[in-house]
Amino acid sequence: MMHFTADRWSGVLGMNARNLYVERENTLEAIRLVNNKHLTKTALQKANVPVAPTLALVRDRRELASIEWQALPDSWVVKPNRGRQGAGVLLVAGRDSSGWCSASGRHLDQIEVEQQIREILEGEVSSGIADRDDAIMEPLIVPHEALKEVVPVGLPDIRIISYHDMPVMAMLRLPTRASGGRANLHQGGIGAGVDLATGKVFRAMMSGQPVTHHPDTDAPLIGLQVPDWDRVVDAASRSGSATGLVYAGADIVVDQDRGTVVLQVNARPGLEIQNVNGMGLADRLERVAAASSTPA
Amino acid sequence: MLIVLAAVLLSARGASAADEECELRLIGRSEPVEVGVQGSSQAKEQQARVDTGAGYSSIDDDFAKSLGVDLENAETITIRSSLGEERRPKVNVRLRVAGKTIDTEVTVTDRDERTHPMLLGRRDLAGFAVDPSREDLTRPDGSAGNSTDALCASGVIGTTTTRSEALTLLATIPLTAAMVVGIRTLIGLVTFGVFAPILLTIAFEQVGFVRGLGMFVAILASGLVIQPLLRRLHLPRVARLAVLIALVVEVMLIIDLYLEEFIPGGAGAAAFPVVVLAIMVERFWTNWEEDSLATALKTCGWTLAVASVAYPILVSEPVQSWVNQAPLMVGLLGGLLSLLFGRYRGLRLLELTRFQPAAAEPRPVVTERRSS
Repeated sequence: MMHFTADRWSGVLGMNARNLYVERENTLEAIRLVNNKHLTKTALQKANVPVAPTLALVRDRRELASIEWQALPDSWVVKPNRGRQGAGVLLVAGRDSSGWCSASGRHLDQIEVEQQIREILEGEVSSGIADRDDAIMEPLIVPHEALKEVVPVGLPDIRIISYHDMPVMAMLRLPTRASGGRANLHQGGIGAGVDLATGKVFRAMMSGQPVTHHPDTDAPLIGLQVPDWDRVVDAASRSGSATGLVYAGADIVVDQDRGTVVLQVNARPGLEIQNVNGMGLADRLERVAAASSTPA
Repeated sequence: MLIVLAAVLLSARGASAADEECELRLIGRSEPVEVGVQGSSQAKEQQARVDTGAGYSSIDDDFAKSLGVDLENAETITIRSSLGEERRPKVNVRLRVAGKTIDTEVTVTDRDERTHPMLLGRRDLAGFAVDPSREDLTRPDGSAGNSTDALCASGVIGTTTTRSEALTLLATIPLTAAMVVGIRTLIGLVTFGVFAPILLTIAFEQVGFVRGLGMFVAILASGLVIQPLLRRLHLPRVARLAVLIALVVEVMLIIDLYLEEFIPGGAGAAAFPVVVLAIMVERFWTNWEEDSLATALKTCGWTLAVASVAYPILVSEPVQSWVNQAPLMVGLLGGLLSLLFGRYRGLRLLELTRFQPAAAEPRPVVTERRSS
C-alpha cells in the first residue's frame, strides 16, 4: 500500500528535532561511552559486533617507550581514544629502509611517529578540554576490493542510522582525490544512498549535485553493491543496544580480510544522509517509534 | 503570563527600592518645588533656592498665607543662624521635589528681600546631590527641567551612574543570549559558541561599534599571523592559548598607548573580552585546519554579524530605557525567550535550502506491507 505525503517538507528531520531525539533517547552514559573508542570497542565486542583488533593501547609515555615496533604489522593506524572528527589519526601503510611510510606515500621517521603519539597522549587532538588521552593502535583497514575498484584513494565507509535497534537509513561515503582521500561530504567526497534491503547504491551526490560515476575512476555508482551487506546491516542494528544508544549512527567499513568492522558509533549523527538519500528521516523515525511502543 | 506580570511588579518594586537606597537625584542650585499644606489638596509651585547650609526649609509668609496657612495659631520654633536667634512659625507641608514626595516641617519668614520666596534646606535634601553650577534640572513631577543643563543631567549621577550602567549592561546579557539562541534555532546560523557573540556585543556597547569592529579585526588578524608559528612549536594547548592571550593584550595595549593619535579615544581596550578573543582565534584556526578557510571565515563572519545585529537593538532608546526601568523583567524575558526558542523543534530557516535535495519530490511511503 503506497501513498504520497502532501507536504514534501514534513518528512525532513531538522537539527532541532534531531537534538530532541538525541537528548530524549540517548543517555549520558551511552554518549560518554561512544566518545571513548576503547570502551566502545569492548562494549561492541561483548555484543558480538565485529570491531578492529587493538594492537596496543598506549596510556602514557612509559607504555610508548615499551612498544615493540618490530612486532607490529607492516601497516597500522594510531588514533586518539577520544578524538574528534579524525583529528590526530596517523595512517602507516608500510615499512621502508629507515622507518615507515604513510598512506599517502610520505616517509615517516620513527621520531615523527612517536611525536604524534605523544601529542595524542597530551590530549592535543582530543575533543573537549582534555589534558591527556590514550592512543589506540589498530591494523590498517584495507577496503574490500569491490569498493577499491571504485575508489582510488582513502577508505570508503558506510553510515547507518538506527533507532531502537532498527536501521532506518544508510549511506556509503566515498573519498575522491578532491576530498584528499577523506570521506567528508562537504570536502568533496561522494555520498551515496544505499537501499537498506539490498545494499545497492540508488543515488549519489557530490558537492550538492547528483552524480552517476566516480570522478576519479569513472566507475558507475548507481547499482553498486556494498559487499558483505547483510553483516553490515546486522552490525549496525546491534551497535545501538551494544552501546546503549537508542538513536545511533554507526560507521562501518568492509575490510578486505576481516569483512565488516564497526569503526565507531555516533550519538548525534549528522543529517546530510537525508540529502544523499533524497528523502527525510522524520517519518521513518516516527514509524519505528510507533512500532516499538506497540509490541507485536 | 502570570510570570511576566509578577516580573513587572517585582522589577518595579526593585527599581523604586533602589531609588531610595542608593540612587542620588541630581538637582541644581535653584529648583521648582510644589508646596501644599498637609491634608489639603491645594498645592502651589514655587521656585526654591537650594541651600545645604540651612537645616529647615523655609517659605515666605505671603506665600504661606496664599496656601491657606493659619500663621496666628501656628507652633513656633527657635532658629539659630549667623544673624542670631529668631522665633518662627512652623507648618506641616507636603513638598514635591524632582518627583520625590516629602512630608516635612518648614518655617515661615519674610523673604521679600530675597531672590527666592522659598529655601530648601538639608532636612529635605536627603537623596539629592546638588550641582551649584546649574539650575532648573528637574520639575516637581520628576521629569527633566526646562534648562539646557537638564539634558546632560539625565537622572542619576556620580558613582551610582556607573553602578546603574553596569546593572543595565548585566540585564541585557540574557536578552543578547536569547537573540543568539533564536538566531541558531530559528534561522540556523552557526557562530563560534554562544558566548563569543554576547561578549562581542558587550564590547561594542562599551567601546562603540566601529572602534569595536576595528579592534576585533586587528586582534583576529594578528592572532592568525602568529598561530602557525605557535603550532610549529608543538606547545600544549593551554600554553598556546596563554601565548595568544598575551598577544591579544599586547595588540590592545599598543593601540591604546601608541596609536591613540590615529584612533581618537584609543582602543577602549579594557572593555574587550581578551580570553574569548584568544579562544576565537584558536577556534578559527582549528576550523580552518579541520574544515576549510571558507567555513572558518563564514563562522567568524556570522559571529560578528550576530553581534552587529544585537548591538543596535540593545543600545536603542526604547530598549535602554526599558532596561533602566525594569531590569529584572528584561533579564527574565531573556531567559523565557531562550526557553521558548530552545523548545522550537521545527525546521530552521536555512534548512529549507540545505535539505532541498531531501525534500525534492513527494516520495512514496510504505505504510503497510500486505501479507497477500
